[in-house]
Amino acid sequence: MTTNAPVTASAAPASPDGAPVIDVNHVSRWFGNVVAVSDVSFQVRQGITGLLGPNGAGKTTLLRMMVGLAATSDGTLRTFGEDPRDNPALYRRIGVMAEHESVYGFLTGRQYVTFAAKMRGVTNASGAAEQAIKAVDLVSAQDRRMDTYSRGMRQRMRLAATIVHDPELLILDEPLSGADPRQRVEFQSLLKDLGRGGRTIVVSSHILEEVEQLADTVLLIINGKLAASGNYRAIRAALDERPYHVRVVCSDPRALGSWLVRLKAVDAISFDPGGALVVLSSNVAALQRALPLHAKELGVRLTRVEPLDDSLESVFAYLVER
Amino acid sequence: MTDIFVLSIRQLTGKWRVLIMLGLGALPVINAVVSAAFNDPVSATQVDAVLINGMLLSAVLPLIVLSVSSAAFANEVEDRTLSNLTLTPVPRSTVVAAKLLAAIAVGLPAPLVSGVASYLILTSGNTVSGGSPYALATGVVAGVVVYSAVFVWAGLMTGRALWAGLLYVFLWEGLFSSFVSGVRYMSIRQYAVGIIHGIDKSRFEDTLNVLSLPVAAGMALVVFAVFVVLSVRRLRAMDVP
Repeated sequence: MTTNAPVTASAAPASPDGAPVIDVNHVSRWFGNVVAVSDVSFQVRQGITGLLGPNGAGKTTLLRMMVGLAATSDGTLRTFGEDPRDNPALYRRIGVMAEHESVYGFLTGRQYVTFAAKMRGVTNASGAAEQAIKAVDLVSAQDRRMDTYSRGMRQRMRLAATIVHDPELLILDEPLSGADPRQRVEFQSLLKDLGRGGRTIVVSSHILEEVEQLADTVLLIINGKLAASGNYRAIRAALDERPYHVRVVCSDPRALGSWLVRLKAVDAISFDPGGALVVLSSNVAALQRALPLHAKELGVRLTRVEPLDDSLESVFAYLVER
Repeated sequence: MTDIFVLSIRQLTGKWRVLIMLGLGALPVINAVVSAAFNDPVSATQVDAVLINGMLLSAVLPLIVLSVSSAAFANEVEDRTLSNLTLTPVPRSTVVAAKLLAAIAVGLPAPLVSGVASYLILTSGNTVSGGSPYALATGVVAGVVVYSAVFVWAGLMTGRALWAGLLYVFLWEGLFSSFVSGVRYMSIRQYAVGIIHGIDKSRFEDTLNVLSLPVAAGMALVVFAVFVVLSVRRLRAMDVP
């Protein structure tokens, strides 16, 4: 019943030569007594792979080990068949965008991306920088100092610096953090384009929907362990089998509750200490569709609808109990 | 390498750091100007002991170099920009070399100009016979280069390189190397004194236990090389934030 073995769905698409781009084999990393990553094994192949997990799950540590920024405490890790640690030549083939902002604020965007191109040995650095900046749609701001940029603009300019040498492998750690909704859509579209170009992209996020938009293949990391891996839709379908608690704050919870309890999608209802309606549903999608319609029919005003256990920790608890 | 060097020069020439360098560099010059203005009789021994050894080599030079070199990597570690250099195909040794050269280029002018100017002011009067400032300049250059290698390494090792450097400068270089004779073999200040005396015998001729030129220059070279190698090894092994 309880096992820590990861849930696996269909395999990731193979790269042209069949070899994994990244091969993580029983890798662990600990800091003193704290285990950040525990005995994780998986392979990453061509296409977009989402590394999903709540904050503090070990995603960043794992990504840092994949690109050689951090050492493994145990296990082996190969990127393009080579140990990425102390292997600068590998960075001709890899583009990395770290989670935390790390730009030279005194440089203009164009200077920053050109510097990145030169550092990676791009022959026509300024031409490559121009292309990369165009790709992230920041031409109008390229001659401004980066310390005047918004966070979203900095993220995009960092992405330009990451792709300026046209890398085969892109490692992006929470690239959408700080972006507004419009920028998210643009960013996701750009990443999809990059993925379609035959690259391997690993993108981390702690938001399920973000990864859903981007990646076909998902690695779910929780508490430093690989909780699930494989096709996103298969994992999501497995997750959707479980009942969810949804909290509904409205003008008349009792009236709405007595209506909702008749629905097939609703397993049970209760009321929390604040008087809000708590609905247990094993078909959240159907509940989402029905809720506003019934509320309107009853003349009940909905103030807030929120999942109570949609966190990745609860997903992990569900997965290990299956 | 040129790109990292130019970038590092820009990083290290922030307003506050330049003001600190200018302020510290002005101290020996102000001291010399005041002495000259009041026709204060100054002996050659005083120039050596107070100006060169006491003020320039013990405080002004190491503090200026500390403020610059410890920041060469420490600032990049602190603001998480170091990955812009390490996530590239550029060898770590090139990164260290560029950073070190930038630290030397920024840290050298202030103590060099300050030392030579104050020396010329004092020796151009009638009170002290002074030779060419060439020996002093060579000693200052050697001091800046070796201190830079040490403090660049310190900036890679700890986020508190500035405080560690201050303790080192005042306790080891200032205190112990003055009173514990064996420590002079492990003192950058004493290497600089030995080089100055080796080139111009009239300088520090009354000072006891001055290192010979070959020993001072040789030890300076060894210490420089050791800390450059340590910096490269550290940059290779460290978990870059």
